[in-house]
Amino acid sequence: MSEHAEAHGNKANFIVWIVLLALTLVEVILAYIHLDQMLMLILLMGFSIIKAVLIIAFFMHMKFERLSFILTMVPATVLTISLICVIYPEGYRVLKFLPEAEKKAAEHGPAEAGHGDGNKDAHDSDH
Amino acid sequence: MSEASLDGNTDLWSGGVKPFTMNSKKFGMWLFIAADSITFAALLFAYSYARLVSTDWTTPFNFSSIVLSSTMTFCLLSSSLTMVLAVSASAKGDRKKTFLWILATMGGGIAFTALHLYEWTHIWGHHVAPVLAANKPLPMIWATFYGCTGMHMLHVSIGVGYLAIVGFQYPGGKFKAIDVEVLGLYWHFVDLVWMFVFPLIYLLSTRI
Repeated sequence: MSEHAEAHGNKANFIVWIVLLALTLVEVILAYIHLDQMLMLILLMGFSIIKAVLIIAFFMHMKFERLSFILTMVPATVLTISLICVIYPEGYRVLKFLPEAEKKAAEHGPAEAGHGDGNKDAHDSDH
Repeated sequence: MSEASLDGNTDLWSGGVKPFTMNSKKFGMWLFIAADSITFAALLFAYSYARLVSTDWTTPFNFSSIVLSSTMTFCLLSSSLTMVLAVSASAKGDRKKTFLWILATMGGGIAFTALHLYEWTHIWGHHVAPVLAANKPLPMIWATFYGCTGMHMLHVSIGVGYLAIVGFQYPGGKFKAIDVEVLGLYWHFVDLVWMFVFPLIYLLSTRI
């Protein structure tokens, strides 16, 4: 039974390896296609997550562990990473208001531009 | 190895019970992996946030860089496969085969590190070195590049050392199959991180 299980297990691992290589090839091809940056980011991250799930499930054997272990490790780690990502929208705010702050610094000096409030800038600006 | 029976014993804190019925070394490695994945998430977040707020992020990686990094990805994925085969051989009790597969895994890791160092020296020569010059901080693109890939390369190098320690002593009977499995978990984690680093840092910055 163990030899059959072993052959079956090794066959699954080879298939996972081929799939991982194929997904990597697709990602490299995507990099050379003129796609919208956001779409490319979504596609690349999507493929990376699929590859990560395959590695964790098959190579790291998590698929064959107890469900209680999977439910303990995976949601906590995913949640922690998601909490880090909560700061991303702040980046869009910085991107929007940084040029105005730099313009103020050029006109009036760094002190005034450094204490600018994002909402105040939005209120004061013409657009 | 004894396991406490819970039949009629309501004192779960009396010890001797394995959490998730998993070996403690394996569970310890999983906890380390969870923690280290947060470290890499933080580094990759720093890179992506810096890129998001930047208005002049260049795309410096030409075709030869992408070919090199794709080859590195192939080396690491193949070394993950050889590691799985090593774990499989150790579970069957075949010490010689386990050692040979671990040796192959080490080869993949060393090839990855060598190619990566070559990539670094290439960037060093054409763009910027990973050290601070006087009065001249690194541009964010290179600070994040060296930070993320350097941290990953450190993990790969430590992994090669770990492979050597277990691999060369395993045929002599020093380690057990569970030790090879725990080693495998670490190595697959290193590969897993590269699955995110490669597209985010290299593929999103290709020079077309």
